[in-house]
Amino acid sequence: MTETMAFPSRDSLRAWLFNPFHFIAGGRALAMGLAVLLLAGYNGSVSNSHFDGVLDFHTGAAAPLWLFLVEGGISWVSAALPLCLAGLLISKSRMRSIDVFGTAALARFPTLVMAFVALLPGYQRQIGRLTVMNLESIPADMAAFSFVALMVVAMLIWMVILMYNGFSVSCNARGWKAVTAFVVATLFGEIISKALIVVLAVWAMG
Amino acid sequence: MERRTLPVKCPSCGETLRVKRLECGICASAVEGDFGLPAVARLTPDEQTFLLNLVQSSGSLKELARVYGVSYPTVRNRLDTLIETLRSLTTEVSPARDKETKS
Repeated sequence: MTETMAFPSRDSLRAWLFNPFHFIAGGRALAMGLAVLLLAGYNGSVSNSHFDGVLDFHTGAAAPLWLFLVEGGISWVSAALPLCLAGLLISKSRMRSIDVFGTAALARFPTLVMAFVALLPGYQRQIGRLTVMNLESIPADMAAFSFVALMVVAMLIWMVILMYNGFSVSCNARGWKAVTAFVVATLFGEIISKALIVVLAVWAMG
Repeated sequence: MERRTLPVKCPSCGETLRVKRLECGICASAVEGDFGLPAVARLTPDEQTFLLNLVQSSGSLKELARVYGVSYPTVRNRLDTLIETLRSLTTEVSPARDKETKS
């Protein structure tokens, strides 16, 4: 049985939301992804949102802008490099590194949403109280906190879907082999990113 | 005149059809025999159009991606699928030929 040659429709919202890599890849995805990383880093520095790992989001201490940008860069490279190596191992296609790195960068678009929703004043107030172990709860602030927590979970799930689809399109990988390679590469990337960010934090603190 | 698609599969059992008779459209001379359809003719219309577009764009996948409005790896993945399909079609043995080989 031959697979149909029909391409996904550009009018499909579902395709744009979950697999925009059918339409955007290579240098264009890389340029857009780098813009996402810069904006998420900047937004993160305003809301103190740290993307300190491939699949991590933490609202923490204030830090200089460069630290947020470097954390984003480390998370992206730590995700893309193992995916690239996994692709080289399992793909029978002539894959290009720029597609893997570009789609992995653009797949981090949900971090931009996370950094944006974390700006909610109610969330910031609640985080401020939790940081100093103040357990006083104001309903409006708790509601904002819960909303941001739910959004973060939803955005992380969306990001994983985007990362997998980017890997799948870039490396022409499908099925259980692709899923296994993706899971192993992402876990490996998470470990690398955590190690590098710990080194960065130690170095930054002098 | 309505453009009809060449049937390549038997509507009854799904087996690949074979050519038994070819006829000249002008003098009506006919040739009869047992001819297999070329692999390219057995591709789906979409696949044939893709192949035609690939040749017309001088084999440039970047140009083809622009024509279809999709990304480069999406086009390359479809080409990989098409190569696999053509490989399986060129190695496929029809039941009629298989019988001849065995007897």
